[in-house]
Amino acid sequence: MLIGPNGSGKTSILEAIAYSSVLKSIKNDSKNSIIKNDKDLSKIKTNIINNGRNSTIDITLSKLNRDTVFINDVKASKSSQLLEEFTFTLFTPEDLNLIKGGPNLRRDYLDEILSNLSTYNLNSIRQFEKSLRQRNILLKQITLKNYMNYIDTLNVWDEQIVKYSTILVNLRKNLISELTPYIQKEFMRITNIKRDINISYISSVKDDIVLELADKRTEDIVRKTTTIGAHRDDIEITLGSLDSRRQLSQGQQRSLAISLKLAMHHILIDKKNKIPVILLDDVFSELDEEVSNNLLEQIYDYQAIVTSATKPLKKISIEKEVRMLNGECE
Amino acid sequence: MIDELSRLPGIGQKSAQRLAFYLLKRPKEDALRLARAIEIVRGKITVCERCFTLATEQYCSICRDPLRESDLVCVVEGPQDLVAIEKTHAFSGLYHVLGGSLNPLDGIGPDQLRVRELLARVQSDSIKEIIVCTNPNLEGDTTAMYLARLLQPLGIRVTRIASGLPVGGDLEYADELTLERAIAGRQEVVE
Ligand SMILES: [Zn+2]
Repeated sequence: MLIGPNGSGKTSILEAIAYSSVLKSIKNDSKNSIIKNDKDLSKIKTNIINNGRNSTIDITLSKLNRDTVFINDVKASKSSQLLEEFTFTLFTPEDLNLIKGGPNLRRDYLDEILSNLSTYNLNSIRQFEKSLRQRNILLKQITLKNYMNYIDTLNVWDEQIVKYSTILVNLRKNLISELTPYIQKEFMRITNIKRDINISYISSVKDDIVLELADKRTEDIVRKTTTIGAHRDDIEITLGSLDSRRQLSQGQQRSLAISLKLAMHHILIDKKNKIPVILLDDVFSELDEEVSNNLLEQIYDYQAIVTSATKPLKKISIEKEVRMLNGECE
Repeated sequence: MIDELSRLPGIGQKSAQRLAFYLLKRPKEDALRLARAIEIVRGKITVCERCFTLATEQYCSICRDPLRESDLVCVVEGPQDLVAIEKTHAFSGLYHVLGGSLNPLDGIGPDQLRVRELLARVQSDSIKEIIVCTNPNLEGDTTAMYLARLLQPLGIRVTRIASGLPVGGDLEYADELTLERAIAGRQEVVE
């Protein structure tokens, strides 16, 4: 447990740990803001002990060049190799909005699990995102007047959107059916409420993406963005007959959000045979004592690195407590 | 000199500095020999008027070779990819250097590539098959689709090298055996 006031550098430590797995900032900070203002480089060294096997990860972040990654002193050629070494489950105060917040939070949640499950999934997500960026940039160059010059190029980017959106939507739908029992179990553990949880995938495509993307073409050109596809979808979670976004109390929504994250943790353990490290970034400030205690009980069996402004709770035993001030550990 | 060197691909400020000091430390003759070599080769090199790879004459040595199959054309992004495929000795047709792949983010559409030139060749050179050997990534795949939609209606067979190459990789870094298999296992781009 890392304890210290805001700005003391607690989250930087979680950032460094997470960066060793996904090569990007958990706070979505740009690389240049991670590296100190007056420096060009930043280094992260991580030692991992997994089933008695030691490995080391050395990452050099550079403002000018691409990051370099060494795994056990061997240069890694793909960022996905890091995910094979080590994964984490992160809880942040923003995760508590998973139910109440915008659809992008829920899409990101599903996609994060998918990325952790396989390199194929990760590549599919990246291919979709890249196709979407390419199509949207192309749309910015097209007007209703010059449209005929671009029609052939737009057609092939549409084909890519169709292909990768369909792949991604199917991956998400399959994941949902596997994930639902996990969520139900976790929700019952932390709230003692036994109610059927049901998740439906709400697609921006009604029936046939090829036809609908073609139908939307004029609108897309005018709005200069792609209006249907996997990036416009959502999931709807119901608890019994209640819609989780509209009909649950704030406390229940937060408990459900935590259940979603715990379900993610457990499905990764079951399917990857590897235990993610739990990172809790300052979530206790947002939770009441009962939920906090329930959450801590659920993660008690795993390695967890926790940040907090104050030493929060009486019930738990902490293996090591580090107090932080102004970027230094005391 | 350091500024000039650091503009080369893969050379950062530090490497540029090291190269510059190396050249200055060596006998004057060594450095000037390099300068002259660059001057001679660069002065002679043009692009082949048929396939647009680097050449020292109007047509490159491949286009001038009468033993190459002239109805089979391999489309590549750059001359470095052509070199990689030649190393496999698995391909006996001609080439067409496109100059990149479709990439709106980099401002590259068909007009920035040698698509019009390819179309002209198809119409005048009685080409039967086009193998699209652009890089095995999203942009390379999209370019293959684009060429297929453009050329298939003209009765040309358009094929794409088989997957099996590392996704997102560069063709020029693929090993020879993998590349040879990818060419042998090429498949028609479907409608
Ligand atoms: Zn030539």
